[in-house]
Amino acid sequence: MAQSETRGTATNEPVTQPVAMAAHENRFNLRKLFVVVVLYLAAFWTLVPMYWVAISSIKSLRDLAHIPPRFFPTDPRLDAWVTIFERRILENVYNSLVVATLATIICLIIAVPAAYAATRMRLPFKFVAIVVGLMGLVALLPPIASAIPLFLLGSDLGIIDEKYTLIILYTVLNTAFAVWVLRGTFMDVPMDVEEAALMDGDTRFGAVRRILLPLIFPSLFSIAILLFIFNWNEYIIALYFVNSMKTMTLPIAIQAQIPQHELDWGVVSAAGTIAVFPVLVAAFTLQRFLVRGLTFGVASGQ
Amino acid sequence: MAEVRIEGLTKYFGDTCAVNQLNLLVRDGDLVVLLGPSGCGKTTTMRCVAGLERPTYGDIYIGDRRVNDLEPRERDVALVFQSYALYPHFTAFDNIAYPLRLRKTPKDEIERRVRDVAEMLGITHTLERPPGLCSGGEQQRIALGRAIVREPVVFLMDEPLSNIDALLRVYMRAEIKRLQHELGTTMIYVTHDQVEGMTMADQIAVMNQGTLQQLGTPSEIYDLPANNFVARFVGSTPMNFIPGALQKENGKTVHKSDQFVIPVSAEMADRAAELCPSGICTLGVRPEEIRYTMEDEGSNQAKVFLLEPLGSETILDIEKEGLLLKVKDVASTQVRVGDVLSLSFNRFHLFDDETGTAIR
Repeated sequence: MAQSETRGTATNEPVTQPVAMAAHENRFNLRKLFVVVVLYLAAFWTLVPMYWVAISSIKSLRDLAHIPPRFFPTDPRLDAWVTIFERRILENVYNSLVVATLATIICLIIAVPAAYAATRMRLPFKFVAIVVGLMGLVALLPPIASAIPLFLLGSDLGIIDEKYTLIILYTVLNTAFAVWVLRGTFMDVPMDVEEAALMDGDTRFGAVRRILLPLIFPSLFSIAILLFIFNWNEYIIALYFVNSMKTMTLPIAIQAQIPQHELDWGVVSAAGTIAVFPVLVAAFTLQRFLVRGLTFGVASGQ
Repeated sequence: MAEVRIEGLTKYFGDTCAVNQLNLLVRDGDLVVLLGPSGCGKTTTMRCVAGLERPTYGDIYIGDRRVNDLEPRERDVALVFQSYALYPHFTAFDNIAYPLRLRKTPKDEIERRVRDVAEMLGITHTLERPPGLCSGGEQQRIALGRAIVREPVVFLMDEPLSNIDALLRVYMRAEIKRLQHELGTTMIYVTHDQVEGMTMADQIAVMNQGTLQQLGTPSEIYDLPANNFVARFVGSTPMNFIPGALQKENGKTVHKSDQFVIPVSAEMADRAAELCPSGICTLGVRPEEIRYTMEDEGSNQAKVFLLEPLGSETILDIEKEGLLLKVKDVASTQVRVGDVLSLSFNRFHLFDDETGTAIR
């Protein structure tokens, strides 16, 4: 009895003290609550369409047509998924993967040395400003502006409907953006560290490979994923350059599911779900690396 | 081990001349300090020796080799950067081992040499950590270790102590000098801190605006400054300057200024007549070379307006008609603010106002 009483006061005591701080803490919590609510709203806003697409792919026709819309399928079925696989969607996934991956890798192989030169070679400032400025301009150009002239050029060369054509085009169109972003990344790494490697007996190439690239790896990886997503989602160029199943990438395949007469929303939704999935995976990986990229400081004496 | 010979080194960045016609001989095993204010070209000079910059004109020799066209890695020179420039993604061990690995040193030898160097520098406990988790002093030692481990023929130090706190700096400069002595390796040490220069150097090269002002031992630089820039730059309490002109008074030469009349020795007067015919020159006198008495002794009187007690000594700030003088006195000085002192000038230098050169 005596024991439980002492325990009672012992737990009571610390409770009374934080009361004085409660007002202060409350204000802090309100602010935090506000931020959290806004973030949840933003997430909701973004995720609902994806949920809607995913859920539509397993809805029955009756659910799809139901008004008001149903957020939960009453009669889930996999018909649309069977159809979409019958229509050989995996070949489109394969095409998209090949094109997006290779275009990303080639783009980086070109952009990394270009960005290095722009930041490290002490080229005349005006020259760098003009070249990088022009590249920025190209990066900002709407793709439709280049799609038609490129198509004419491509058909003259007879390279329409080839995967490598898409790879070349995506590489070219993204290089400016990649150089632009990489240049900023390179400028964040102090010249000293590379010069130290040169003094220690390394070659310039060795210093880049052993010191610079490992240091910027998180950023490099983030840029690679961004490029991959660009390539994965690309529609307008593909629309002009894809003629057959041999080259058809996912965005075009999705569009191809919309027939002239009878629109099967289930099938379109299933294709859409497939297209979204790798992007989601990429985004989650990217997020982890972005956080690392920001906190990965380069040691200095300060 | 090697000497470093710099002949007519000139370096332009665009239209800016960073180093102008620099000649410098660093003898084998010497520690030479390049001393000067920021932007004087000392770092550029060092980077030219390192191979990180190409000279616009002039030649650089390390030992007997002309190294102008050699890559940094072919020069066998180690450089410690102001920022240390450690590799943040390596551990301290890998940082120090990096130059050895590039030279394809056998693994067990790398292990042994890195441990030896770490022990010598007292950083054995940091070896497994990345530099980001080491203190500033430890990072500095890791950077030193990386330079020492490969036994280069020349060490280059670019203000290596400017980023650590004052107490550690006093300790480290002795440490670096001891290391350099023990290893017997030629060292070029760049700093803007004249105390660092004075305490460490076998020879000091004072630079300003891309040109070499004076090369000499610390005591030569301090006692016989070649011009008013060197005189002004060296000395922790700066030299006093009294502008004026040489005149004859009663058959004797004096340096006459608005405030003081200071007798000049016959020998110095002769030299001045030869070197500075106009006679317009500034008299420079170090704070410890001014004597005073409290009695009224002629015209060279001035009033104390501030005392700066430094513990081991006191600086008297004296003012006369707009001219400020600093005089070094003992800590237990009896002088108080407001006292009027009669000054006498023990040893002083004369600098030609036109050229700034010392008359001697």
